[in-house]
Amino acid sequence: MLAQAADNSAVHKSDEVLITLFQTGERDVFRLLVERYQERVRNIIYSIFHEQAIIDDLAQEVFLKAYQALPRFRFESSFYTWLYRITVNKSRDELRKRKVRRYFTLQPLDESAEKEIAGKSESQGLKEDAQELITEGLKKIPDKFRLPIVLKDIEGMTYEEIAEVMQCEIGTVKSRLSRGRAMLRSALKPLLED
Amino acid sequence: MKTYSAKELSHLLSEYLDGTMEAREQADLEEYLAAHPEAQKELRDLRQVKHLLAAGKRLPPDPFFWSRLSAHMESDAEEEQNLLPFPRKYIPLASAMAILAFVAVGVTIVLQREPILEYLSRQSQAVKEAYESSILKGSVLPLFANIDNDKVLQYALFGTLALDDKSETALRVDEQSEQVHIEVGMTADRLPPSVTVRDLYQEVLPTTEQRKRIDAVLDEAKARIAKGAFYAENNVLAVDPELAKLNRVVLSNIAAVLAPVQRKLLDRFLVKTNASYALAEEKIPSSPEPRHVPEVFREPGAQHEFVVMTEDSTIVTRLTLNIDSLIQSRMFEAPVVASELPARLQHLMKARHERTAVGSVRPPRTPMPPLRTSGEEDFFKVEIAPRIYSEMESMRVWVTPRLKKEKMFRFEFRMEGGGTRVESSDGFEFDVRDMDSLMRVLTEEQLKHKEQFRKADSLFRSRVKVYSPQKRVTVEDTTRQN
Repeated sequence: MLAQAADNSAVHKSDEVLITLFQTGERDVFRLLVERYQERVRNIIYSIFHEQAIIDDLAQEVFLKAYQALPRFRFESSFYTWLYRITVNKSRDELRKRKVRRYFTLQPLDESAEKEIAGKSESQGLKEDAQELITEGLKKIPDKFRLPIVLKDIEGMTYEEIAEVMQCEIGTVKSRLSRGRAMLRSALKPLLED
Repeated sequence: MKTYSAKELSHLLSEYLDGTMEAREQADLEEYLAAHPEAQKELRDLRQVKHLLAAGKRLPPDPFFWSRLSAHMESDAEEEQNLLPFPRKYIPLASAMAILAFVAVGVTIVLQREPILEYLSRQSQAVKEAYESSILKGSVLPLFANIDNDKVLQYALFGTLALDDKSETALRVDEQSEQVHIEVGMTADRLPPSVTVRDLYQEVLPTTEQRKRIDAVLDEAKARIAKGAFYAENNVLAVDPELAKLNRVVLSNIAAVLAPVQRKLLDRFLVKTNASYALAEEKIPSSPEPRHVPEVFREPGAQHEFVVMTEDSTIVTRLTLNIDSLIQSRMFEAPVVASELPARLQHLMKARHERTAVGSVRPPRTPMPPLRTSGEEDFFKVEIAPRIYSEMESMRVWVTPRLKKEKMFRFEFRMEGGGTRVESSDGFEFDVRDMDSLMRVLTEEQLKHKEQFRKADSLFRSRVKVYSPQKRVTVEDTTRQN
């Protein structure tokens, strides 16, 4: 039964061991994998969307997909990059579904966004609003540049891991990261100290 | 010295920032940086942005995530065996919509029927029918919509909030037993003492500004309580388990408003009033920043997970409600309905208990840990795993439950072999013939609880008379034993 708590002894086992147990029929260990990674998966989704409402549904979809696909997991990558890939793909699906232009625009930030940020930094202290402004800035960056930033600077992944998650070359990751950071810097210019 | 185009420089600075450059490449870049202040500025900016990103808000682990996910997975599994001509997944959707409808209906009747029906017209026919049939079943009543700040303070101090002055039904939070739990039910012997906000002010002597802030804390808590427990007229009870946190949050925020010397007075007040909490001095920073509105109340989004109990099921679900409108509509003040609340709640609890006990309906699918529900004829309890409180570490929680676990004394009466047997938490077991025989065998320590024994015995006998003799009665003596 899914409802049953997994064996305590399994709590400290590595992902690989848990997956092997899962693949040999011990489905209960999936709960341990979920509890191990739910926070990170939910945070990636949050970093991409910055919307509370979507987090739960999407995170559930991610883990349902993982549950279905785990019997076929071949240990060619680490579990968490595999799980992140599912998360990123689900997020992309959602973005596509919404067809929100701002997520796909390749244009630099518009002036109004910069003014908005400048206005905030004048009227309120930097520290208080920095996070909010970073969030606003991130939201305005096209998702193909935003995703590497989220995975690198928020989730702390390596270039190789990001390439695996995004299914692209390492060079592409570096280039998107650099362009994304430049966009974010430009968006937050009024906020950055001289 | 090497020169770079703007694009090249941006690319290299990004790699430099990540510390992934080859040594030679890095030396070239550093030489360039030393001679170009604008490049240094760009690097500083990038570093600052990276730092801000890394220090950004992180969502805490969601203690209910697995519960929801596993329920979702189970329903998917059931779906595979579904013989219905439509997906089984629409059944919970319809149920959830029906519950939503129960909650919305109080407002709907008065104000918002059209917009909601319009919204529902876009939904499936099944959901619409579920909603419309629910309208016929009456309105939704917040259990605590019209309490005052004195009551809020009493709830914060003692963890008990009576439905009304006459009623024996109350909402209770208990942090002294092994598991934190919140329950709605009868409370014959644990109504809180009548402590008022004025009493608090006389003790801690707040300035006018401090009073304003404490009032704001209590007002906010009042709103949260009003939004945290509902009864729908078609016999549904919904409780927000987050209410279990409120006591500590309120007291911590009151402490935050006060100066260190006043906090000592507050602690004295907590002792004097026999409150269930004490200030945890080691957790309080020397000069906390007072807040006009406590940030813990500002949770993003208005969605809360409620534990929803019907006569034959218990589910955890999100309810998205316009509670302010509900309260403003004043439906809950309809005298006939409000006065019926205690009786209705008792009826619901009893019906639920009887149905599940005799197995006439499928037992409720209780939520997975860390949230667990249980109940008897006269109470409904939600147990909350301690780790739900881990997120509170970031919430400036400066109070702790005053009672230690070992101070608790619990005893259980039950029918056994035609007689009554009593067992207590200190290992005492006795076949009770009458109370006098029981009192004779109690130890000195146990005699401290003799009044509780008497009450429990009396409660037990009354229940045995009214209900099935199979029942057990467990009573916890929460009297402070300092």
